[in-house]
Amino acid sequence: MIIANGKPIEEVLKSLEGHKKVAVLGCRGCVTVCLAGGEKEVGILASQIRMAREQAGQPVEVLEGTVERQCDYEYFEQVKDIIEEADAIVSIACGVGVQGVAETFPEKVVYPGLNTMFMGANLNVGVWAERCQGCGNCVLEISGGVCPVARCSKSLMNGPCGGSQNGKCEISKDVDCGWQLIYDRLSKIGRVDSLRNIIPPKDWSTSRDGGPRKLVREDLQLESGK
Amino acid sequence: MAGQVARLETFQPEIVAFCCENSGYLAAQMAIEAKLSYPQTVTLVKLPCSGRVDALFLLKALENGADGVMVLACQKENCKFLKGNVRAEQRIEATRKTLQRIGIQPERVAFCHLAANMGHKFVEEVRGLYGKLTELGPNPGKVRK
Amino acid sequence: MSKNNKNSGVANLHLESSLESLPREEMSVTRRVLVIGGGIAGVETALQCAERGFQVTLIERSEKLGGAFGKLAALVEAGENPKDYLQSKFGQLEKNPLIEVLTQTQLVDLTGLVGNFTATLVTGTGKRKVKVGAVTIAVGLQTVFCPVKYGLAMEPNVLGLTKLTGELIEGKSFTGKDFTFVLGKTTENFVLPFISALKNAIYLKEKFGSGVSIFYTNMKVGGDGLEALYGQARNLGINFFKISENLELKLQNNQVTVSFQDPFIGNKLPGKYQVVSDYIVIPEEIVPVENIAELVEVLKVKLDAADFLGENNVHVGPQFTSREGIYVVDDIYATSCLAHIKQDAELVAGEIAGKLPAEAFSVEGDQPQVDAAKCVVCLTCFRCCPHKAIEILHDAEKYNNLYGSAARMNPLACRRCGVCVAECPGKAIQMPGYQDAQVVAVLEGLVG
Ligand code: SF4
Ligand code: SF4
Ligand code: SF4
Ligand code: SF4
Repeated sequence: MIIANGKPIEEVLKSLEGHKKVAVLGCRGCVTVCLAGGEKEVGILASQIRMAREQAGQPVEVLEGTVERQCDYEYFEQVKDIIEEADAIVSIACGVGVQGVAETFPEKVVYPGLNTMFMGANLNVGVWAERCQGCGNCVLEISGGVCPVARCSKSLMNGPCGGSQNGKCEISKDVDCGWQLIYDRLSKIGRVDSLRNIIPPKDWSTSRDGGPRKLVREDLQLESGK
Repeated sequence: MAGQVARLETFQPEIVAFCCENSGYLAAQMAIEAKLSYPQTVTLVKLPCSGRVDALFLLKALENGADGVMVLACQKENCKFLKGNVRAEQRIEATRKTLQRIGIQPERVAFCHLAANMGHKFVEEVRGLYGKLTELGPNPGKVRK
Repeated sequence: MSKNNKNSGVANLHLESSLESLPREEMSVTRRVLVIGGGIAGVETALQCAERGFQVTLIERSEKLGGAFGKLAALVEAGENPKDYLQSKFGQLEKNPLIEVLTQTQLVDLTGLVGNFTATLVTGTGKRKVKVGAVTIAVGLQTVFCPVKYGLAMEPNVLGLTKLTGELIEGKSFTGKDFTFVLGKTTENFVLPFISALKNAIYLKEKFGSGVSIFYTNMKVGGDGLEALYGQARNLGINFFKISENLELKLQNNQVTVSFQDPFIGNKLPGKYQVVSDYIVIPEEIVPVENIAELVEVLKVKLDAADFLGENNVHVGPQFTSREGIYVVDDIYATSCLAHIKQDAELVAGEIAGKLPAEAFSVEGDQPQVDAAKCVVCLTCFRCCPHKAIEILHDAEKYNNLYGSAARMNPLACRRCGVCVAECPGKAIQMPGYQDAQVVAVLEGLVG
C-alpha cells in the first residue's frame, strides 16, 4: 500500500494564501488505511484551515469531500460540485490522486496536502515501513523474499557493503542491513548457498531510470482506447 | 444555578468539557450537587470514555465558538477501559501541537485525570482553565462567534 | 440548539431515543469453559461452572492436580487438613460428568471471541482443538526463596514460610524451639504471607510452646477474620515488633540473633534490642508463574504493572482481564485464603453464566456499529481496541463495499468505550447514544 503523511500545516496554508473558497478532498484508498487522508483527516484539516485563516484575519470557506479512489478518475464525478465551486483544491490523496484532480479538472488549482512517501507495510498502529520500490523487475525469488532494492540502502545486488555492522546499516543504527535480513532468511530456508550465484548487473530500465513508466495491456485494452 | 461569576468582565470564556462518564462527569455532578460554584459558560459533553474523544471534537468545539476545551479522564492506570485515557492524551497532545502551528495557543486545550469523587478537582480544573482563558482572551480561531 | 444546556448538567445527546430503535442481535455460543490450572482455584471453578450447567475442560500442566495447596495450610481454616480437603474435591470432580480433566496439557493458541473461542491444547498425545465459550485462568502463583535479600545464607535454620508450613503438615516436631519471623518489604503487597505467618506462629506456640517473635514492616490484616487472628496471636504472647530498615540478622552457633531499633519503645528506652531464637522464618517472594508471558500472549490479555494477571483497577474487579470471557480466579492480590478462592470461583462462574445464558439468545446491539460502505478494513479499530473485541468479517452479500468485508464490534466482547469510534480514519463507526452528529450538533449550538 502507498504510505503518505500530512504536510506541515504551514505549507498547506502558504499554498492557500489568497484563495477564498477551497475544497479539501480525501481518498478512501491507501491514505485512509494509512491514517493520512480519509474522511476523518479531511474534517481535521478543514477545521485547521478555517481556524488558521480566521486567526490571521483572512477567513476562508472550506468544503469537504472524500471519494473512493482519486487514482480512478470516474470517482471525481461524486465531488464535481464542490470542486467546481471551490477556487482551489487540497487533495489529501497520494501524489497520484493529486494529479488525478489536476488532470480531471484542468482549469482548477490543486495543491497536495500530503507527502507521499513509499510503498510499504503497516507494522502496527502508527508504524509503517518501506518494502518495495516498484523496480519493474522483481528479484524476490533469489533474495529469500526480502527486497534488496528497497531494503538495502544502496540497492546492492550481491551482498552487503563494508558498512554492515551487527546487522545494522551504516546509514543509521535504526536501519536493518537489508543483506543481513536476506542472509538470515536464506539461512532459515536452507538456501544460503544460492548467494554464490553472482547476480549480473540489474537492468534498471524497467525502474525509474527508464523514464516515466506506463503499462498498457493489449489483452485488456478497450477498442476506444479509453 | 451552581456557578456565579462576576458579571463585571465583558469577556466570559466559553468552555466545552468532554467528560468521561466514569469519572469526569460524575465529578461534575458531584460539584453541582455540592453547590460548588464554577463558571456558567461550561458545556459538559458526556462520553462513555475519554478514549471516545475524537481529535475532531476538540477542533470542532474551538471552531464553533469555544475559547477553550477540556477533557476529563479517569486517573492514570485506572481507566475503566484500560487505555482510553492514554489514547485521549495522545490525541490531545497532537491537537495542541497543530493548534500552536496555526497560531492558536495550545493552552486552550486542557486535559486532566480525576476520579468520580473529586468534585472539588473538577471545579479547580474548570476554574483554572477559565482563568487562563480570561488572560488569553477570546479564541482567535473561532469561526462562529 | 442554544445556550440552554449550560450547567443543566450535560449536553443532551438524545441517548434514550436512539437506543430504542436498536436491533437486537442473535448470538449462538458454546457453553463450555476452559479452566487453566488444576490447583485448588481451578478445581473450585470447574465445580462451580459445572453446577451452573456448563461443560468444563480443566487443564493442568503437571501430572497431577492439586498445585501448591497441599503445602499451604494457611489457606484452610484451622483444623482442616488441606490434603483431605483436596481429596474430597477430587472425588467430586471425578463424579461430575460435565467435567473433563486433562493433565500434562497446555494451551498453545486461542482464537475467536467470548462465546466462541477455539482453544488449541497440547496434551501428551498430541494437539487437540476445543471450542469453548469462556476461559478461566487459575494458575496461581510461584514462590522464590531468597534469604540473601535478608542478608542471610542458606542454612538449615533459615526457613521459608511455605517450607515451614509443609514441615508442620508433615508432622515434624519443634518442641522447645524458638522462632523469629521477619515479614519484610518484598511481600508487603500480599496478604498471604501475613496469614500464613500468623497461623504458623499460633500453631508453634500452642503445639510446641515455642517462643515466637514477629518482625514486620506493615501488618496486613485486611480480610475476614484476620484481625481476630492477629488478636489471638497477641493474646497467646507472641511478640510483634514493627521495624523500619534497621534490622540486623546474624547466624551463629545454630542460633539467630536479630538486632533492631524499635520505633515505639525507642522513644522511651532508646538503643538496640536483641532477640535470639533457634529458627528464622522469612517469606518466599511471590512472583507470577514462569510461563505467564506465553499464556498472556496466547490469551491476548494485558498484565498489570507488576506483571500479574487480573485488573488492578477501581472500575474493574481483579477477576476480570482486559478481555471479555477471560477471567482470573485466585488473583494474586486477594488474600488467597480458601474462603476467597471459593468466593472468586463463584463470582467468575456466575459471571460466565450471565454472559452465556443459553446456547442461543439475543442481546442488545448497543455497541458501536460499522457502516460497511465506509469501512476500508484498515484494521485500525481492530488493533486499537483495548479489549480485543473486534473481528473482521467477510460476507460479500452483506457488506456493500469493495472488499465484501467489514469490521464488527462483537456485542459480547465489546465493553462500549468508544475508542474504536474515535480512531476510525474513515468515520465508518458510529456509537449508539454518542454519535458524531450528536456531539457535533451540541458543538454547533455553542453560540446561538
Ligand atoms: S489515489 Fe493514491 S491513495 Fe488514493 S487509492 Fe489511489 S493510490 Fe491509493
Ligand atoms: S525487487 Fe523490485 S519489485 Fe521486487 S520488491 Fe524489490 S523493488 Fe519491488
Ligand atoms: S477503523 Fe474504520 S475503516 Fe478501519 S477497519 Fe475499523 S471500521 Fe473499518
Ligand atoms: S467500543 Fe471499545 S471495546 Fe467496543 S469494540 Fe470499540 S474499542 Fe473495542
